[in-house]
Amino acid sequence: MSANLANIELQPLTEIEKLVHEPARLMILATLHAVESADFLFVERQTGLTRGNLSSHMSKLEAAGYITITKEFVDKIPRTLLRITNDGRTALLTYVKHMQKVLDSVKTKN
Amino acid sequence: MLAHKNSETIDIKAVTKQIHRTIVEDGLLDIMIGIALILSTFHLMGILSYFWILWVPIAVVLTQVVRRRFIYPRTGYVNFSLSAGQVASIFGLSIAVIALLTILLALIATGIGKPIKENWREILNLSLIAYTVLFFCFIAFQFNAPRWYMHGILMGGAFLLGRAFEAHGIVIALGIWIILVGTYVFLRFIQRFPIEPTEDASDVR
Repeated sequence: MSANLANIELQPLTEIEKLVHEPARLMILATLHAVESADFLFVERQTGLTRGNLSSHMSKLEAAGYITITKEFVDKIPRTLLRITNDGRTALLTYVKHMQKVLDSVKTKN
Repeated sequence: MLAHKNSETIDIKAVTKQIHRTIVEDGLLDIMIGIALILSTFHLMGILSYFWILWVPIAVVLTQVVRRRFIYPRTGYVNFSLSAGQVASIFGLSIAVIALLTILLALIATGIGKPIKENWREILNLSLIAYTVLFFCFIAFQFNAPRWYMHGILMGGAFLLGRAFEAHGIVIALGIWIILVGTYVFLRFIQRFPIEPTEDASDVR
């Protein structure tokens, strides 16, 4: 096994951003990547995360500038609107590219 | 729900496809298309003038009204805006496909001894029918909605039979069937996703 590991290209792993790598945040970014914008409830349903969990990860992504969070009222009901930023898209696609390199390397060696 | 909770990577295309499925998930588009079919048939029968085309903007507005009232409180609000470039691409691709189908059918017509000059209208109608089938099958594939394959194939069949026997009732019956399917899907959707308390928990940090 150690001989196999030596041949696998692991360099891309060091370039992987931990903020994006966390599964919950990865799902949030992937969901928002597919839409123009979505509200809290939609992302909650699509990702299956609990409200508290989702809110916590949203804060981290917002702090990193990967998503924007806008609060508005629609028919007197509060709505939290989420939107991925260009930086967020770039981070997500870069992450996928790096992970794919590692996985492709593992597959070819096996 | 996304199925990639603990995977090392994520298939962006698969996730996008799953999320786009929500466009057809509630059955509303089926109902609107069924009504459009019936109205267009009435127009062909000379009962309605070109006013039936007004159904398109009415359907868009009506869909948004119903979604706002029944869908968004259940599964959340989502916006799938298309850019002008994307709309132009879809339109251009549609024209190209129709043109290709028309050329193909014209070649077949020539091959079986039917002159294009006298049969161009029929050739164009057949290419539009073929395009309709392809379009619905594409939507079914893109949005992972198998019932739209049936919509497309039944529409193609209904249009062909309707033209062959001059029986507009076939298309009207199909329109009614699609409305019923859409209504069933809509009611099941409402049942599957009850409205939960609207407390906005997004302030929990």
